[in-house]
Amino acid sequence: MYKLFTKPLYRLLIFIPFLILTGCAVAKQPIFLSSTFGQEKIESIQVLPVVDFRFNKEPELPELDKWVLGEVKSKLKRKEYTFTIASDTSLVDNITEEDLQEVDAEWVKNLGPSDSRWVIVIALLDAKSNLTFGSTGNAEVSGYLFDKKDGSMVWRDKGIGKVGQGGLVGMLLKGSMLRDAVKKATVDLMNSFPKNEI
Amino acid sequence: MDTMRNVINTFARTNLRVLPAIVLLVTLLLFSSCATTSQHISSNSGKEASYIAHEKIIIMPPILKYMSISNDATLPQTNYKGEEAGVFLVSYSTELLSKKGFSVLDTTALSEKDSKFKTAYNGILGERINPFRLSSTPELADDLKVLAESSDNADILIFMVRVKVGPDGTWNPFNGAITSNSSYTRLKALLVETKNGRSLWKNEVQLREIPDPESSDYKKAVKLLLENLKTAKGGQNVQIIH
Repeated sequence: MYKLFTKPLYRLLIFIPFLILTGCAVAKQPIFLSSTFGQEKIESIQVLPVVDFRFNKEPELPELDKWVLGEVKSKLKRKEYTFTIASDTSLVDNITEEDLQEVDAEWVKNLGPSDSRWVIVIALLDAKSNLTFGSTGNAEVSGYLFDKKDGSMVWRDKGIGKVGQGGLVGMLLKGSMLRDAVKKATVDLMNSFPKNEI
Repeated sequence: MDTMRNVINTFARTNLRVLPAIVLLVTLLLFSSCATTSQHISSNSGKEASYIAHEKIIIMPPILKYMSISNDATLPQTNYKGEEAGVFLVSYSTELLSKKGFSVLDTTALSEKDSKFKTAYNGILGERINPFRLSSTPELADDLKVLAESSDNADILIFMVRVKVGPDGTWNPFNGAITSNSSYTRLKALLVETKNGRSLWKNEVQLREIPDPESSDYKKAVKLLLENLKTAKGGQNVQIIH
């Protein structure tokens, strides 16, 4: 088998399908990306604390910001953005689901710290974990990039995270399912965030 | 003595063979006894009842919205028995409210009898883009006033049902990975005083499935949604939510 692999023809036969498959991979498209995106350089993004829109907000997730913003940080770094993470939760206290569904320019202009221009809002819409013969976790997040200069929405997308493992091992992992699902949903969400190319 | 020893040895050997199975079974039983699944039906309201002064209620046709969980795209209701779920919501609510002592008005009969009522009722149906911001347009306030005059100040009950449709649960036999169903429904109800457009009562319930008129869980969810809504018979104070 090893001898076969060392022959150039066989190497080609293995690598050609691999190259074709990677070429076919399509990047995730966001639900919304403004046509104005890319016309102006994004100097710095302000990332606000995570907004919790879960129904009756149970169980409590004291580490939600850590889970979500950790993934957001790593994605923004990889996409070559400069950013700051806000820790003041009062910045998102009054945000409602309706505010994000029907975006109003005046509302956007007053979002986040006054000296910021580009603002990211991440909302956790749903998260649950189940224990059966194994355990599972589901999470749903949505994300928005706003330009406070003209009060417009620049990017919007959703991320879904589904994790689970059957059997006794899965049962023992119940405690980490919610965290893993939230993290996975955030990665899925940020996959469509455009790269800073200016 | 030997017989006794043989009996003990045989017993021990048999039990040693089935011991792993017993351990596994006991562990499974222990785990399933402390299984904490996420609540299938849950409500946001407290147990405290809201007492409503008016006994007459007009139930508006519910607003049902089916959306894909992955991108919020609107999905056709017909694929998920949406119409039937809406019809059930109105009929079961009528039954529950009648039992509580409310008088649910027949809008078809009122529309046939009174053209003003019909115009105002149809106007509200056409204008209510977001029923939870109901009194925001002047046209809507006017229609509500007309409705109040022609229905002896009946309150209107508005239902909004938002269904997020996601993939069903899966099991991968090769690596044991499992996932659970991710669809869920949020049922919202709002009671509005017609003469001034004030919100009298509201409630919200979450059901972790797509509403099915034949499902007992959907029925339970509707019942829970209206549970704390009561008539003010007996002189209780009316609770008003702004």
